[in-house]
Amino acid sequence: MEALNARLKKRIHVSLYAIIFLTGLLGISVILESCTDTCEVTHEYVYYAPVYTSLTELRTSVELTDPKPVETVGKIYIKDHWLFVNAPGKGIHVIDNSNPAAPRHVHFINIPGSYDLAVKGNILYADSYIDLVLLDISNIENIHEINRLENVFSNYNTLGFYLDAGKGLITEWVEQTEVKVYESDCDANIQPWGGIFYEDGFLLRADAAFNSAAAIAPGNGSGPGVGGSMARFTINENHLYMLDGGDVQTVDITQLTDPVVKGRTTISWDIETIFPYKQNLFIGSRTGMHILDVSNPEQPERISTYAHVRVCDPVVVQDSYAYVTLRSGTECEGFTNQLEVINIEDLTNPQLLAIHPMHNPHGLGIDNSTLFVCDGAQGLKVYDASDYKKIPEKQLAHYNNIDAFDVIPYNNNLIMIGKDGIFQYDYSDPANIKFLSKIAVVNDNP
Amino acid sequence: MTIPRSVICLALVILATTARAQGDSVRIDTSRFALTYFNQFTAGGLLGKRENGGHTVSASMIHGVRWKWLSMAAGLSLDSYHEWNIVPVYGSIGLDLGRSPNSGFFVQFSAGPSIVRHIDREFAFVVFKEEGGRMTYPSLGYRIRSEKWSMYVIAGYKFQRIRYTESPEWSPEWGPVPYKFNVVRDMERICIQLGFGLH
Repeated sequence: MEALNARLKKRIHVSLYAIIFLTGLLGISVILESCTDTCEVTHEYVYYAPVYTSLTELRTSVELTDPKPVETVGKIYIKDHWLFVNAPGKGIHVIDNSNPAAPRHVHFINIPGSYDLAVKGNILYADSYIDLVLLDISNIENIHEINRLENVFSNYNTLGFYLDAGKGLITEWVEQTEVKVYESDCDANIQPWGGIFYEDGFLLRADAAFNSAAAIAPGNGSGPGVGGSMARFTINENHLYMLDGGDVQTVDITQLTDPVVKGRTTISWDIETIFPYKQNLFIGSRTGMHILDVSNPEQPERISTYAHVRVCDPVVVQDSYAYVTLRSGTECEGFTNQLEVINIEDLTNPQLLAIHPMHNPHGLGIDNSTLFVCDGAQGLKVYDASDYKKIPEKQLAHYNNIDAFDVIPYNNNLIMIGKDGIFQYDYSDPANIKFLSKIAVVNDNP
Repeated sequence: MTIPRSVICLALVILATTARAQGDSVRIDTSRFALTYFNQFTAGGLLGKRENGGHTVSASMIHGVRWKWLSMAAGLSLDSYHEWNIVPVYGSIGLDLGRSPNSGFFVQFSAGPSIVRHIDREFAFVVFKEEGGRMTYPSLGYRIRSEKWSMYVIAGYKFQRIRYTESPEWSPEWGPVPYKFNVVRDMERICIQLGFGLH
């Protein structure tokens, strides 16, 4: 009996030890399992959300209004004594310039998504995002829309967002700051190679320099321009040529009020400006100058391309010479700032004749042998270009108190677009240019 | 499954109380009332969940004074956490649970700020900026004393809270990259150490 009790006690002890041991193991495993890492992640980012506007609303917004302050200056077109000044994305200022010494701001035409314009006869052609709008300007007091080519700018997009059939077009990017706080297991808090577009918009670094207005503008050369060196619209005889993405879109305007969309010629994704001269179009791009033959106006044909380093390059042409300014900068990239003179006697084989260093040249204009160059912060420079080799040596005038973007030399009246406004000069004596007037820009934004 | 820290601390207190009850019952040695210098050098492991890098190492050093059953010290540790190296600089208070002057259980509580360094990996494409951290470390130990020297076995719950930012290494002027994450990371480990020290 005692032996039995002893064996029983021993078994109970063994069982107890086993239970204690197993309980200990279980306890340790539970404790270790609970010893983990947890992360509270706070994610803050600047987020640009798109604002859509329906096509119906956009297409019923064109109207003539009272004059508005000039806040930004875009393309300019001269028609008789009228000056049409584009307010990028918003519309067109109508200015009576019968006395260049005292221009009079008379109206504003509200055209959402307008960045370029051209005039023939009494019809003003302006873009409105994806449409081409025709306005009758025969009576300045009653400018009104008379026709519209819908969806003609099929390449229009902002940051890769094209027309949304349901929501319309993105007409603004609104900055929003988002803060998200969440728990994570610390394994993968971030994805270093995140996606390009997010469902609701575009994600940026918190310190990113983002210009919503520039993002809405079509194409690369959205800066101020004229029916000259920086324009994206141009009229050659009975055809209107417009840059649309990497294409040249041709529109037959023989019937001024009833234009017909013709062919589309693909040139290069980085084209910026278009300049007509005789039977040719000179198209500036970030990597070169393309020369098109428009002897068959409905089917422009590329003759040649003059390649250069990757920069911005407006171009003007006079006789056998093309004058190209190359400039660097954030949007233009590159490190080149110079004026190039190119021999275009043989359009199939343009040849570089001379390179003249510049500060940061933008638009330029030429009238006979007088060359006007807007050299950024160094202002307006006027040269005698009769000898292409000696252009820097024959500087006729230098106005360095204006941050100049572009010029139109027109009938001895020089219209210059600067950071502070639109300036007019009398250049009947190129060596003694006289200031006539200034239309001030109400803020510092170019 | 995560056990709240309060439960773990309570368990340690219960263990300590139990240990004290089991302590030797001897006459109090009046020499223990003197203020004496002591130090403690220990090393061991940080035991945690496998997904967080499994088990890593920890080494500590404290210097302080002992009075009666109480001790106060300042210390420095080097704790490895897979992709983090952490150096806590802390204060520590201890309480002897047994009445034996030579051997017995003790509880110790350490807390203080930490210097944090991330161990960068090649081609990770993530930039870490450490902001620092803090440590709390309640523990239960057993001391075996011989002459001037003591040996220690210590087990405890080490809690580190560190703060840092993560951002992508590749970051264009403006672009589609998620920007910056501010992270508060809590790291919980069971710490088991062996060591020695003077007094």
